[in-house]
Amino acid sequence: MENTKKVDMSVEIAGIKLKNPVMTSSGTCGYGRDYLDIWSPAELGAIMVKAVSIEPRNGNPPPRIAEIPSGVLNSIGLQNPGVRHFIETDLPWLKSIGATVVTNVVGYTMDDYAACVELLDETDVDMIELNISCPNVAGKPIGADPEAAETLTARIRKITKKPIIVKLSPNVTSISDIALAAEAGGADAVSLINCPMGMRINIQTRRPMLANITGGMSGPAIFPLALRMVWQTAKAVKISVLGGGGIVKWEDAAEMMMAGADAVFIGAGLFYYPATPLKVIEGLEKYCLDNNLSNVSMITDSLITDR
Amino acid sequence: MLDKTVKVIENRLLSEKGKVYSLKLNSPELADGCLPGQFFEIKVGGNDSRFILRRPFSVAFCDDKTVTIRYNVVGAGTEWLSRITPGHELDVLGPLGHGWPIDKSKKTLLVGGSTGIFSVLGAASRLGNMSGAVLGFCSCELVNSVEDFEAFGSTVSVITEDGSSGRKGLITELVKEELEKIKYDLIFVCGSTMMMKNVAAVVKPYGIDCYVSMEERMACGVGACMGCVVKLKSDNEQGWEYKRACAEGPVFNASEVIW
Repeated sequence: MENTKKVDMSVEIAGIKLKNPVMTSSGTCGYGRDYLDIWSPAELGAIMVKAVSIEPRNGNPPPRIAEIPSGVLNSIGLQNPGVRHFIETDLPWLKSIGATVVTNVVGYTMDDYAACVELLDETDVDMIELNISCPNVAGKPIGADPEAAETLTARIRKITKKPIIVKLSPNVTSISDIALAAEAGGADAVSLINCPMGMRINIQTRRPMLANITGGMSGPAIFPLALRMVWQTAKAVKISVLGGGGIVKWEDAAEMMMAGADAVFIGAGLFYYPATPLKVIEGLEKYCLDNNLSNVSMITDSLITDR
Repeated sequence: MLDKTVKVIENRLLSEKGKVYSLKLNSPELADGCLPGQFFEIKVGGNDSRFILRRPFSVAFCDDKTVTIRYNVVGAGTEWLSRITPGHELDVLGPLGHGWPIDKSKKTLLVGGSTGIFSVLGAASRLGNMSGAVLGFCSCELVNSVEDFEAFGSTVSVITEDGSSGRKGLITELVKEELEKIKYDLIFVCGSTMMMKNVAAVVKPYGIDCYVSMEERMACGVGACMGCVVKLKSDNEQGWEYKRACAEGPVFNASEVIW
């Protein structure tokens, strides 16, 4: 007999209902148009768009990309056309096709973040993700300092009622401390991990493979690191946890959810197979059917640590 | 743009010293609408590969049912690819990017250096006898694909740095001579960045539209990651901007490039 049971694939993050728990991560999916021949942003739980700043940014000089075993090293440097351009062109289009939009916001200073969010607050963007963890811009990221993370989150909280996600850096001693700080500042969710810092050298030229010398790692190489950090963070905070870092197949997404993620985001997995998000959604649904789970969110936090 | 699993028809060694291969893929869908100068991203290393990045290859030529790509082995990814035998399947994404502005009414000079010849070979396949080709290699053992340019109807001159095949010298000399000899309307150049820069400089005084196919370290291949940018002139305040080789390029007008 044909299996007629249905799985509820929706999840709720900060009061917003997502179609499914699969998102694409900021910086790997542009503003949603580049993969249209393969998938539409409307098919995802949400699209986390490329970071926007108050003013346009050039980004770093090339080469910006190097390969590492089972991963990628990148140093893009937040090249973007500015938040106003995004609000005028990409956001209306994304909303018109039915996408749930998470706007990733960056700034050199807290004032920059505030100015961006003030503009976004007047739009129909669904959620705001504070990128306090980009590894490729100069200066100490706010994400490495719990006090600064809390101060920024609290300031943004006063500006907008939209759900705030704080994107966490793995380049810290205790990621759950930063998560707790974001929670204390009023964040609705944390997303982790941004890229751990790495480096490669061309031994023939004795030069770094990236023009910026160091860069952020992504891909399966960082999956165990991300999984561990998601697990630690999910135990520490009460707010939603969005987990990502090296997810390239549905099994990785299931692990991430078991470790405590309410939803997952896919980045470098897109480079492997552009259709990865769709395959992950399909795989998670089948896993639920096979394991008699009526709702995909039942995977979240289902880790059993007893031996 | 499609992401297809396609069958390999042929993966033939063209030059042992240069480790140059000709890879023929069976895919009417990928061949359909594919233009010279566009490229494909091929997944290397198999299903659970440690190579997360696909490898970009410009299309050499197409027919109704097949796509032919030519490549040389430069690292572990292309080394894996070179061992693939006919009958095996590859994951291929494309066609990607913007190709050469082919105009069959314009006499076009194709300038290719080393592996850069494969991208302009695609242009020769469409232009036939409206094209002349100037091809540069380090030495004679590396020379390949000349007969393919000729078969498409292109008039070919070869120059090698050591003089072991054709003329001895640098490709820029031959380009200059060719332009003195024949009136060209358009020039397409593909090779190393240094070679393209030098050729563009030689061509400039002739006032002929010159296009170059830029290469940069690439990840997604579709414009999403902003990895493969090239510095181009712009009418913005600072006078320049980074554009994506994979999306706005890889072919750009040489006059726009900031070398």
